[in-house]
Amino acid sequence: MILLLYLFLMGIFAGLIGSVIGIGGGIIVVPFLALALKIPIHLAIGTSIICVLATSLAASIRFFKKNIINPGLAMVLEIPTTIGSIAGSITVAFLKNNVLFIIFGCFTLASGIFTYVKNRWPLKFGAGMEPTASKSSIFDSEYYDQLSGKPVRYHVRKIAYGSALSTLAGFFSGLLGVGGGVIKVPAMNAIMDVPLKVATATSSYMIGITAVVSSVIYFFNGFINPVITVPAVAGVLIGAVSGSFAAGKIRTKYLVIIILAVFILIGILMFMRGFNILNY
Amino acid sequence: MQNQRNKNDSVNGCTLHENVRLSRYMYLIILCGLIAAIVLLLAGFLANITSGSGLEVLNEFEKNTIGPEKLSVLISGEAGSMPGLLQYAGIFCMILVPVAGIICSIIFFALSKKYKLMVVSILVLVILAVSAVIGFMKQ
Repeated sequence: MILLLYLFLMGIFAGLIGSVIGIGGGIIVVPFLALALKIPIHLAIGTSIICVLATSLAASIRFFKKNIINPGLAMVLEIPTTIGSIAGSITVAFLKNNVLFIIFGCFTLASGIFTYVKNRWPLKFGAGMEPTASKSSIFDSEYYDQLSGKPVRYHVRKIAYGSALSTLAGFFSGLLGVGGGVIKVPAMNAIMDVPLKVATATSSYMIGITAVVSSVIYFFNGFINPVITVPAVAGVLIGAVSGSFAAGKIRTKYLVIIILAVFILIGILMFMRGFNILNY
Repeated sequence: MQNQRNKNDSVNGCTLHENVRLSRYMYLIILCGLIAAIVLLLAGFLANITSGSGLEVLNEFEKNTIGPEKLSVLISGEAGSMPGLLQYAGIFCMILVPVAGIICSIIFFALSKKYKLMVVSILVLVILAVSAVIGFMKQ
C-alpha cells in the first residue's frame, strides 16, 4: 500500500513539474521507479510511456480548446517521429540495463540544461523568435492570439530539417519512455518558424501519438504492468491539471534552478548506476 | 469572433475557421476517450485493492502482462481476473484515443478536400498499424 502511495505522489510531482515548466513527466518517472523503487528499468520505461501518453492527452484537451494545435503539421512530423519511435522501442530490447542508465543520464543532463536556458532567458531563446516571411505550404495555418486579440498567420518552412529532428525525438521517446518535446519544440520554433505557442501545443499532441507506437510495442513485450501504471497515471493527471492552474502563479525563475539541480542529480545517479558505482 | 472569419480568407493550409472546427471535434474525442480510460483504470484499480491481490505481481510482471491471446478474453468479457482486465482495458482505451483522433483528422481533411493532409494522416495511421504488428510479432 505504501508503494502505491509513493507511485501516486511521484506521479503528482512529475505531472506538476511537467506542466509548470513544459517538460514531459517521463524524465522524472523513469529514474524514480528505477532508482528509488528498484523496479526493472524496462518496466519503468513502459510505465513512463503510459504516463507520458496521459499527460499528452490532458494537455491536448486544453490546447485543442484554445485552438492552437496545427493538426496538419503534427501529422506530417509524426511520420518520421513514429518511425524513430519504432526503432527506439525495438532497440531497447537489445540494450543492457547499464547502457540504458547511461543513455538516460546523458538525456537528463541535456534536458536539464536546455530547460534552464529556455526558461531563464525566454526572450533570447524561444519566445523572442518571430516567424519570418517565406514560401507558403499546405501546413501553413493560423490561430487566435488571446494576448493581441488578433488571428496570427504563420508559414511553415524547412519541413525536411524538422522531420530529421523529429526522427531523433521519436527514437529517444521509444528508447527512454520520454516525450521528446525537448527536441521537437525548438526544432519547430527555431528551424521551421512555427510560433512558440503553436510549437508547444502541437508537440504536446504529437507526443501522445508517438507514445501510442511505443506503448503498443511495450504492451506486447511485457513491459507495462497496471499495478504500477494506474497509480502513477492517476498522480500524473492530477499533477498536470493542478500544474496548469498553478503555472502562472509560480515563480519560474527559482523553480528552474531547482529543476536543473534535480536533473543534474538524477543524471549523476543514472551514470553511477550505469557504471555500477551505485549498486543495490 | 473566431467564427466570424471568412471561410475563403484562407492561407494555403487550414484556415482559422477550419482549425476551429477540427479542434472542436478533437477536443470532444480526446475528452470522452480520456474520461472512459480513467473510469476503467480506476474501476480496475479499486477492484484490485478490495480483492487484496496485486502487489506481488511486481516481481513477476512478465507473467502478468496481457498478450494477443488474452485480447479476445478482454473483448468477450470472459475474464479470469476482472480487476486486471479492467485495468488493461483502461490502458488500451487510453492508447486508442490518439488513434481515434487521427481517424477524425482523416475524415475532416477528406470532407474539407485537403487531400494532401488526408494522405499524410492515413500514412501515420498505417505506421501505427505497423507498430502494432511489430508488437505482436515480438510478443
